[in-house]
Amino acid sequence: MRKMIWLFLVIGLPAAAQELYVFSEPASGMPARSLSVKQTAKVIRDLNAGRTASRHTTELMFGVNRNLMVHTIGTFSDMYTNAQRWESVRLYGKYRFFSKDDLYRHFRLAAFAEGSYSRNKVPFSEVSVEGDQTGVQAGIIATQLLHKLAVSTTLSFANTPLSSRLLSGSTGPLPNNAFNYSLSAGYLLLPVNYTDYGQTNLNLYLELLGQNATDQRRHYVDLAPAAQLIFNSQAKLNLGYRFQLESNMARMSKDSWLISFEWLFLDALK
Amino acid sequence: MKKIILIAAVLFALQTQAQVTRAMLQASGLTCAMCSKAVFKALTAVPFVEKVQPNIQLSTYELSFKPGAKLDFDALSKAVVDAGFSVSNLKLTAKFRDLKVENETTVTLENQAYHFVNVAPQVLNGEKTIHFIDKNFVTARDHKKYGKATALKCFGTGTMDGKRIYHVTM
Repeated sequence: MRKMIWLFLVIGLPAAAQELYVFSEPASGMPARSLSVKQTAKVIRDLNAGRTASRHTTELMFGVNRNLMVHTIGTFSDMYTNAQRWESVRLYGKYRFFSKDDLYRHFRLAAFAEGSYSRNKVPFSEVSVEGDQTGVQAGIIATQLLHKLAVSTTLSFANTPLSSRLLSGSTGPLPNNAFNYSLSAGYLLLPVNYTDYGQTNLNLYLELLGQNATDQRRHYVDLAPAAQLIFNSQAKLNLGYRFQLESNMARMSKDSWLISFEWLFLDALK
Repeated sequence: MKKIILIAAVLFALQTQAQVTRAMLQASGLTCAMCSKAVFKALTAVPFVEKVQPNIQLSTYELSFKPGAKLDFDALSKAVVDAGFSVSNLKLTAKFRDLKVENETTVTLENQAYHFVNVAPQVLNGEKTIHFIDKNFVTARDHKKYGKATALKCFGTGTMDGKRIYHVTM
């Protein structure tokens, strides 16, 4: 990871770094009174069932004030059923409690908490509140922008009660408590010179996403590269591929594709 | 009565001693054009702002104000902070006429008190630029640095006798 950070520093692209990560949230929030709408499709190859399945997530994000943002999320999926059906709802809140801004740099800390209700009964050992299971998650995010590089880390705990799980998976009892972590980096590739809000941006990201179950000796580590286009400084198109580096968990799939589109409405909430 | 007339005359004289032409604001903590646009939109929405000309690369915004409108520089700072960022620099350019300033003096322009810090005694004439050095207009580091140049308590609070006082330098 350190090698990667140095690589970014050496490349030294001539524009501010990006922290609009595709697979994680930065500590920074949204502008106050803004609204954002995001539609995401996640596509996996279910190796156990030998078929392709997908999840479609609709997310409404509100910048309540300068420090607080709230997301309401709903998902449809055919991951655990034969056909697409309404799968889960989730509420996410993030509060930025520390900010140190300087020219072209900042350090920010935020705390977040979320709760989800899912209709699924999951036979896999991965602990997830992103549609898969009913549960709660809370954690801390730290984001540092250093002129041309933005790195961010998230540390959190997730709990998905056994009532939302099948009692035992194909590999034995399932964990229901987990420690999650992420380390993300991103930079702006294009445009080289910023002169206009109408210029399309191309951002590249690399994220390390991991989980360690705390009640069983099970874990995974994923790597997720992603590309992002930003149109008119207002709409984002994300394309990411997430794959397993290492794991001893029973998972539905070892990799997934993600495509999402997000539209930001500034000053939407008066 | 004489005193009041005298004060009124002095105030009136001061009011015509400076006419704001434009301002330059620099925002800090920005990472992207999306963020810059959020700041741009927030500044555009400030009632007395007429036009905002952004420079995305430098994170600066050239501001012009509506003629005759009362200027509230704290509203500019609040707009930037609400957009999620901070102000690291605010410069005001005005046409001055025979305005005498010296270190640690307060002048009132258009009913707003400005306290000059770290300036040589001089008479301002023609177009000049003053820098705001209060807490919400500079980085924390710069605020600390300027704090060493003035002994005034109001530098920390930004108010004197309950009234807003802006600290500026040249």
